[in-house]
Amino acid sequence: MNYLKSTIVVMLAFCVTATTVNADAPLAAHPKDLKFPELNYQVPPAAEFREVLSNGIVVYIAEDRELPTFDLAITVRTGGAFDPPGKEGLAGLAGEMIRDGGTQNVAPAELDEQLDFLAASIRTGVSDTAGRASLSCLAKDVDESLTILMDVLRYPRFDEERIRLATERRLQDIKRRNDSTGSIEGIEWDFLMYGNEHFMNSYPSSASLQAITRDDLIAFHHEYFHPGNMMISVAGDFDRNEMLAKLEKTFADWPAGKPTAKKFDGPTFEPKPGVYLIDKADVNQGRVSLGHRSIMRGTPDEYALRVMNNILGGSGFQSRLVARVRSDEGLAYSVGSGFGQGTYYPGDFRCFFQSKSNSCAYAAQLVIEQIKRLHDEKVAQDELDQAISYITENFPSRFPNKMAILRTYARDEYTGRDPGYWQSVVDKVKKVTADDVQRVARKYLHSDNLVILAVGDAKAIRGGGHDKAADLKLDAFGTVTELPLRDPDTLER
Amino acid sequence: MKRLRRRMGVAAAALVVGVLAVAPSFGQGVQPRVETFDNGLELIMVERHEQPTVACGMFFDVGSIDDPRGQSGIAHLFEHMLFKGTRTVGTTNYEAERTFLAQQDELRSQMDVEMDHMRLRKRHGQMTDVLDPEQWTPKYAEMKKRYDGLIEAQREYIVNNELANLYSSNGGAMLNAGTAEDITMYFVQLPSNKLELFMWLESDRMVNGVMREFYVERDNVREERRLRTESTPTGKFDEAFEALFWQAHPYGIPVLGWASEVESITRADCLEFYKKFYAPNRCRMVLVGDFDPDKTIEMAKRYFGSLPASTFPRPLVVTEEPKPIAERRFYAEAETNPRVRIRFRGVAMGHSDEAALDMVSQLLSGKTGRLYKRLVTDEDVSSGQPFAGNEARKYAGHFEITAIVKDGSTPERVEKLLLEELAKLAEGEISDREIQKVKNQVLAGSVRRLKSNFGLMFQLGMFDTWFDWSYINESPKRMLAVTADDVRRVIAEYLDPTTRTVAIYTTKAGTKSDVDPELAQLLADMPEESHEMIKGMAKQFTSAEDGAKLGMMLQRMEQSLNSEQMPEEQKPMAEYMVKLIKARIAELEAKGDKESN
Repeated sequence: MNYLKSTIVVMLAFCVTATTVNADAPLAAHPKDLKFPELNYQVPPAAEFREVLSNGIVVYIAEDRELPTFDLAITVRTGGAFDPPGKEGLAGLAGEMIRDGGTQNVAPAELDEQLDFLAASIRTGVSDTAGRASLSCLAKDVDESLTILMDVLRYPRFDEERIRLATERRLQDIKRRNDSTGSIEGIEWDFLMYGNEHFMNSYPSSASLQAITRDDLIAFHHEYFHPGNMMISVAGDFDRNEMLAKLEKTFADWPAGKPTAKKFDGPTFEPKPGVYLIDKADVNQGRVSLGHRSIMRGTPDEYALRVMNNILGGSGFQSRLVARVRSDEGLAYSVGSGFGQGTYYPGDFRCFFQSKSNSCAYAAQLVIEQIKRLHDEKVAQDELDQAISYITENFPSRFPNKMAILRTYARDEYTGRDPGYWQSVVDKVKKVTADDVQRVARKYLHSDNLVILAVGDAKAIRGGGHDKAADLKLDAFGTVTELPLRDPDTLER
Repeated sequence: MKRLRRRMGVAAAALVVGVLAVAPSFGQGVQPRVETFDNGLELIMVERHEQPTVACGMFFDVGSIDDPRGQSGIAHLFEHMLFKGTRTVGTTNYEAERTFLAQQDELRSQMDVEMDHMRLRKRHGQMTDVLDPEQWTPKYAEMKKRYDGLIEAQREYIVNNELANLYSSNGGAMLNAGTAEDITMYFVQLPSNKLELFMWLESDRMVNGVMREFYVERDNVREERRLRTESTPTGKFDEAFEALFWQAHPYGIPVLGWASEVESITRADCLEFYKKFYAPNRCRMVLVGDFDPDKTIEMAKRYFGSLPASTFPRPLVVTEEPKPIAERRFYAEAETNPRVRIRFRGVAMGHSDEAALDMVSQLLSGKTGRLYKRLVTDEDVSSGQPFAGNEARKYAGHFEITAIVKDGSTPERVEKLLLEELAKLAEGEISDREIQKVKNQVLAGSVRRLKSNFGLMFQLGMFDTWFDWSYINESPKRMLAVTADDVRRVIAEYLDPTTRTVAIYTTKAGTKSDVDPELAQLLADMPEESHEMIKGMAKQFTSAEDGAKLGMMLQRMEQSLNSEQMPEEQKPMAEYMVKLIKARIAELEAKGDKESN
């Protein structure tokens, strides 16, 4: 009953609309003078959606009856982070092959055919820090599709031919890691932040891919893909109790297995501040990143840091970096910043832009000025208010549908976040003051300890020569270390 | 603020969304409320109360096909300018700004004259880059400095990015805009209590835009072109391929414009463009989400009702792409996987053959499609999923088949197999199940695509701009009616191999940076066919693990270096190799020491 009551409250909140129009009233002279009706959106608490099946699987469930569809997602406790040395790429390949390699009962091509004819989609995959399986189908096909999903999850065939095709595709693709400056920059930045040893920088190579055997995939599946490691989110056109009973029945005879005890380790590496340059001739635009390592999530400063980053470069056109680098100076189409608050290990603080080669140094100087400005000056009240409302007013958009709510709660439980987090975040952000912003900027932003990475036409980037700062060269920020391109396969140099 | 890249994967219209034969709550498909004002503005509204937000979009009948000659890229640049504010938004004192704007325009026109001189000098080889400050004439450099001063002075009155700030601090999410060949759109998602903000800002910028900070923004748009086209592995080539494919039709002109033309567009050009193309009768507003339609219509009337319609005649592109008279081929060496693209002339959106061509593309594509079965499963010549797409645009369309060439195969072989599969589809058996499978996907897809308010808003707006909003319900119906005979007929009619345009991308051999610069220099003096062998040798030396063997090689190499037989021109290379071997031996020794410690 509890569930029903709060649903009605939520629906009432949903139905508040904008319009109390008086047709004769004059239009506001400025949009700032517009008065809007109140809208108090609260995301329903996690407990309202959370159930536990008898074999221990946690289920986040919600009816969503507007369209005749059904969506189910399973989070699996695993990750490429656990790939054994020398077999990098195992989890990724296994994740793909659980679905793509067919089942013991159904050959892969036949499985593809069945699903395509049903217009249903089943996907499986494993990232660095999580595994995932999903099913999307029409509500009328739920029973048939669920049966196929269980066959895929429990009895994968790991078809040799499909493994070969997937491996060869990867072998071809890893040669292309140096094609675009975007890819080079992304890979190098992570190495500069987290070092060679951290799992996020252990990429598959041709040697490691060739070392992976079918038995490895089978062992991977056996170790991780069982109910003891699983959590389900499910939304669609069904009756909640009936669907719970169906899931109960579907999963009942699958033994839970022991949950994985492995943890995602943090880096032991310390970034070395400095200027790094990678030459990629024949492009006329440089890509530049500036920053350093940041922190784990969960500090009381989390909210002030989010507001601070919005002011700096995290809120699109509202932010200072866009105002200076793009709007004032016309130096970059895309410019911004992120202050990562890591889930398993410290995130990174990173400002980024792309600019024509000779203006990279000038734009970098403007970025650094803005970081320093956060230390030196307290933000003005209206800028603070804007940065805060950027978060608080956007809150309803975070949850565009039921599945988005469920996925958020499932991810929170997977990563160990407080289930009440989303009920308090808006209030906490609203309490952030200008003093808080300056305090956290001083504590967490280190403008004199930056790693600066530039990728592009090295000679032109080095030389600078923008007409507003003709004498500014890249070495104004420190000695430039030119890094050769990594070997695309091994990522060594 | 981006150029709309129409993904082939969307197969433009037909598969996007449609009839909800199986969607009880939507009954006969999507039934928006449509209201047309006296000034021509159309309102298309779909109520949905699942979440307290509204997806809002303005879709204009204008795009790069309307770029005047010599001003390619202006439709897109103009779209950027509508974010720079109006007489009210983005300024603390428009009257004061006007003085500066007038001075800037005056100075700019003098700069443009000087720029023309520099262009002339460039044509005659006296300078290489009119944008390079080091090459500017002193006169131009002086004027540019004065111009920057005027911008700096104007800044006192400019409220930076105020439009975007008003939206985002009021909960506006996904604020952006996009320009394509035949559409320009502006969109945002707002909390449902903020709909009036949308009305205010959009009615204002439909007519009151001030092209402030124009030349700064033009620079940003140049950066966007560098980002998307010039500094990506295939951007330049993809652009050139479009220009090859469209012989006469303005679809061949890049949305981002040719570099030299974008760099030359003036503020006056943009004001002219504004007058011509932006007006309520060239626009539809689409709203999907949590609002009351009656009240919303009232509100929209208050804001848009009095805006004047444009009297500029609705321009129609009369250019018809001539029927290709010969095969056209395009070979590009790029840093990318080798790939084949085969393109044919297709049809415009809404054409009676569009659905059948969509069916052809769906029969060929996907993991259970014919191309995957033949090229990946049977012949093992392609990696990834080969793909066919039918793109029907407002005035014309094309049909493209593409596949990545697997290492060990050749583009020519892949091209041959792709064409063979097309021929088989035209001449061979097509099973009922094969066609039914596509139809099942059309139906399911048409339901799934409705899940997002934002997605539905986009589809209604685009369909209405290109054809009619009702196409959202019509196109799946048409798909469901397609037969195997239709498939055979349209292949024969449109996909004639003798009229194809083909792009073949081969992978550019080791770029400069893959190779030690010293070696690269030495290689320049060696015959081309020996390069791979030499590079292989160098790699062998630098990765060898057997120190003793290396020692022997070193000895041999040094001997021949000192002998009479070694031709003089080969000596530098041999010396380089000796250096490599020595370095590797030293490395191995150092490693050995470390391990034994």
